[in-house]
Amino acid sequence: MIHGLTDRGCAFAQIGNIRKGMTLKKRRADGSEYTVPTDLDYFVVEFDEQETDAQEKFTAAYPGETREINCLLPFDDISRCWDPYCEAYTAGRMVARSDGEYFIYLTNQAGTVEVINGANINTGEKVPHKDVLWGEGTKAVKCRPVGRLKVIIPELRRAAYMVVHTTSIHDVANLSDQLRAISQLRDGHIAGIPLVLRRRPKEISVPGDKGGPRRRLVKWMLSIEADPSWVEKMLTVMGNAALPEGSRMLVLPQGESLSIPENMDQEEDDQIDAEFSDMGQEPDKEPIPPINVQTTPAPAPAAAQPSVLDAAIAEAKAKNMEAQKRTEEQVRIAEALQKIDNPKQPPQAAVERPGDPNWRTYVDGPETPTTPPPSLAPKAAAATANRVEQIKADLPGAVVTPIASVAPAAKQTKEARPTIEKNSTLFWSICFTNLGLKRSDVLKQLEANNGDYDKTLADLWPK
Amino acid sequence: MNTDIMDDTYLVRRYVCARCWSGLLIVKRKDEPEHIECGNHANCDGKGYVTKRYADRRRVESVAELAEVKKNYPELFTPKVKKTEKEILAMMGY
Repeated sequence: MIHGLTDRGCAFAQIGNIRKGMTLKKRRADGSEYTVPTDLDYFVVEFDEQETDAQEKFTAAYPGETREINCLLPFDDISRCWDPYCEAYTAGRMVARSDGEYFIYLTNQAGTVEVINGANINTGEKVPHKDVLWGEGTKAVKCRPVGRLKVIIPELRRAAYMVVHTTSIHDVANLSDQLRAISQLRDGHIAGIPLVLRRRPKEISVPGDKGGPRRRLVKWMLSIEADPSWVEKMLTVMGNAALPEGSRMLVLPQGESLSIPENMDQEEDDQIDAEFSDMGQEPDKEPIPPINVQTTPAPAPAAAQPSVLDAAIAEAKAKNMEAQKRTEEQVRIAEALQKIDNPKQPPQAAVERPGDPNWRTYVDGPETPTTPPPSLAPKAAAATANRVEQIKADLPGAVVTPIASVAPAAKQTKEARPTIEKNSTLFWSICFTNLGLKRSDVLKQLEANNGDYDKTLADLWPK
Repeated sequence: MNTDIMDDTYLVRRYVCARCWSGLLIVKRKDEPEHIECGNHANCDGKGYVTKRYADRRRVESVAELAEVKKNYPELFTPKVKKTEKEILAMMGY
């Protein structure tokens, strides 16, 4: 507990301290007590006496001895959150503070202030740093590294900070480097980055006891890192930002593939080619003499690492090849069928690819089969059978299903013929749809009957 | 802390408690020498001093710091729930 820490009247108040160790009381042989500062491998968190609510929340979030604490830095500027200094203390007060190069604050042994705000009071000049201020041996007053880090603990849901204290030179150097590296992830902005403050074991060199040789000991040092989940997201964003403008579009989700036959625009191209051929030959140009250039073979490109982009391009190429192959096959089938098919005849067969129920193409014309007139039904059936045989011979392995056999038989009879007295949509509909006649044939018959629509229909009606 | 009267007045005017930044008091108890204590001695057992100027500067700075923290972490500041007159009176025990 810390008494009175939050009574300072600050708007943004300190509510506690986080330390690496504590002072333990020990008893001498004669019964007297003394305190020993002891380094621990977990955090010692002290809250202000009035902050019982914050302490309960912290205990709920971090029960027991914790080695990891989530934290946030309150300000964007590292120097406002992290105070690494070399400081010297006597029993009563701080006598010196320096940045390692010059003194920022310095008093002499009598307690008179000599340096304040980095400048000598009398001369105004900077005073260079020195490790030992005065005294010798164990009584020497020395500058020691001190680091104080202001952190906000998100679990407390408080706009108040706690101070992490350390007096290890390894911690000061390590935290300074880590904070600088984290701020570079967001162009110098460190506020808002979720951080994790940890105790990590590290083998360091320490002076030996009683003037003995130095030795290596494992100490639990401070380490601060950005939350791994946040770093992962940040690296993804940075990776995308590093891509060139055109490549970023390939990262978009894949859309539906559209297969377009190769000969779709063939007619237009032919017309354009014809127009250009009419414009005549280009004027003769003087032949350019060949130039012999000795070229050295280009160095082989370095083996590139396969990336997500390369994989996407390879996949797109494979799909294009497949679509092209499929289109070519369709064209080949259509051409083969066209040789044996009468283009003006209604579709009479569907061709399916064995083993692929989704693949189905029709021989010329719309997918919906038209019904031949009753009188033409036997002939159409015979023609269909003939065509099926031809298709089977031309496309071995193809399953050919005559559609005419599936289509219902024509229900038109002579008695059902409607009476047509004048030119109407019904007349032409019957001629084209029901009777399957050409317009020229109908017009010839109509002319022969002197424009009598009913008689024309009767003549054209199958007997 | 035992001091003479000149030092006392100087300290009390220019310094505040290092822990709670409250004003200092010159305390004279029976059978005890005169000494200086934190004025908030009921809640604070601080023994060191910091200058009043430093404490005042830090208080002003903290207002700006809080504004900056509010901007950086708006989610930390939950909106205050307005209470009715009856609710406030009920909380006070009426």
